[in-house]
Amino acid sequence: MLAFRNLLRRRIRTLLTVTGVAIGVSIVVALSAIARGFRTQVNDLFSSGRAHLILSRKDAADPILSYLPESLLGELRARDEIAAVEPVVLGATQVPPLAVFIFFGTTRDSPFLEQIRVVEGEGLFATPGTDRVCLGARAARNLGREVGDTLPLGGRELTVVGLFESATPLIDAGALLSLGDAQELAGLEQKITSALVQLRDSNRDALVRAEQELEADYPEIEATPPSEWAAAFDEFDLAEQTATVFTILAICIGGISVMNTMLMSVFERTREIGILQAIGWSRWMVVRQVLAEALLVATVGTPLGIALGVGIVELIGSFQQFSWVAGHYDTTVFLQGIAVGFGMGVVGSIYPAWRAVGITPIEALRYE
Amino acid sequence: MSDDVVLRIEGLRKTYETGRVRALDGIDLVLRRGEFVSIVGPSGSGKSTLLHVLGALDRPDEGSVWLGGQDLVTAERLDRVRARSIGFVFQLHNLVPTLTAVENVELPLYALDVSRAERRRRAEELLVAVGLSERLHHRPSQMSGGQRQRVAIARALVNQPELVLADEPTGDLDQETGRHVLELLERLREERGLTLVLVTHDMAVAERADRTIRLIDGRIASS
Ligand SMILES: Nc1ncnc2c1ncn2[C@@H]1O[C@H](COP(=O)(O)OP(=O)(O)O)[C@@H](O)[C@H]1O
Ligand SMILES: [Mg+2]
Repeated sequence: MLAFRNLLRRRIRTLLTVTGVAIGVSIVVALSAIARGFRTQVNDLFSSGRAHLILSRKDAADPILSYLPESLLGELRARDEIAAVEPVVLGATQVPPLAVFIFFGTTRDSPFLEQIRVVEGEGLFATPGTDRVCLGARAARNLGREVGDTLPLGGRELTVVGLFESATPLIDAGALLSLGDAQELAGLEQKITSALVQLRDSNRDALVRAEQELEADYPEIEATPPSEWAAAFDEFDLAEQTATVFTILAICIGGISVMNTMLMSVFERTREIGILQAIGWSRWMVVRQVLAEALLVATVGTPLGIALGVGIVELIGSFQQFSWVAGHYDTTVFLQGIAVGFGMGVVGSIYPAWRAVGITPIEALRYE
Repeated sequence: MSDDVVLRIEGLRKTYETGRVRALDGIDLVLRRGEFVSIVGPSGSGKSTLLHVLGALDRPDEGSVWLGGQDLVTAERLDRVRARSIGFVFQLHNLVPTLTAVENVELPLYALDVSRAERRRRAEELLVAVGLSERLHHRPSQMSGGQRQRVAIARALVNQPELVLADEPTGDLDQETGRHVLELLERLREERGLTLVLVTHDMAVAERADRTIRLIDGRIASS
């Protein structure tokens, strides 16, 4: 009650502090949701298809930097446990106005094609030929292209033969090319970036065994189930670690802002705090007051910040450049937001509470 | 110690600034239940310091203080003593400005194990007793100085203390208002059998007490 009244007494200051908490929370929520969203999308890239394992280069930092020799495919197909192998070339290039444009080089029988649904024109392999491209719906929108238009890509003029949709924004905002075209565009002659492996026997044991055997026979290869593919690349960990660093930073910076408010609040109530102690309030009760005030700020600021963070992600995703951005909101994201909000409250009230406890009633009574 | 002794002080000394200021310099005092004692003396003579020691706000450097059966020199939790046994009325500005009259009066009860309903009941009862039944939900800023001191008196009594201490409670009020506040305090003392110690510089007021203690330079000059 007292905490509530104190906050109302200094409305502007309270508003600023709540805003500070909300901004801190929103940044962390947005960063974390985007980082997780990216990881989820990468895990989704090949998950809904028939692929059981994805092979990539062991030490690759990024899926597009994972170079494997195309000759590997033949060797793999010869193995008993493997039913089929399809190559993938993942690449990124610039297509004005987009700074990053992702393309997927694929084969006609690739399980990857199960990730897309042609909605206009025809499929990439419906008619034989080169220099054909299918655009995701977002890509078509961002680039202003329709079926029949041309698209300059890496010095070549490709013809848009079809539009597709995909549930994964990363695919939906990209393009589909034949493997050969993609290799040329990416400068990867005789190379691929990953291979999608279908096993004859796909039970859990067989999967683990195949994973181990492949990695043993090809030390440069990392084999991962599609739904864990992102784990093969450190950069996704890095993105989430960055979010964690920001979480800590936000708690510190926001904590200082809360602390500033609480300190002012404690100082201007020196006499009041002294009087409360004089009429029997214990130090712990005084500490609780300060904590309650900070936690009240956190309680209001945190949900606002979470809402703001979701809004930021949506806003970013609405820009052409970032149409592949999709926030992934799991409990961890919200817990992170809550931790930041309340972390700020707690960090910000420790020192003020200590100062409040240091006020002795005698001194406070002499203080005018 | 006989039953009706509320407070006993012996050889009380208190110095400030590492001994240079002798605020209290050997005080002996016994207060009996229901007694009304006034303390007078020039400014700086140690009146407030004495009241603070009586009220478990401060510990002496030397001497003993017994309140009820309790030794206040060694008591670990003076805040508990204050919460249970002491009622304070200070000069002006001792209410919490953001709280209403009734909320201010409830404050001491948060330190005790009193239910919410009981808190409200006692606070309202006392505000009625001090004649503020019409002002229960006013904030201090919406009340006159005299009304605020009545709230402070109600707050001092709400924990049913053994000892009520008032440090120049009318110091910031005009004479007329001050007199009304003191009359109220006296009336409550009679009705409720309070043990009351009142610091004042108003001799007329002081003389209405059962006993007047005159302090000079931290010593009792006469009583
Ligand atoms: N906290 C303190 N620090 C230093 N000196 C103090 C303190 N409290 C009181 N004194 C000194 O002790 C003496 C008695 O003060 P006080 O009890 O307030 O007198 P009174 O209430 O009679 O005016 C004064 O000289 C005063 O300056
Ligand atoms: Mg004084």
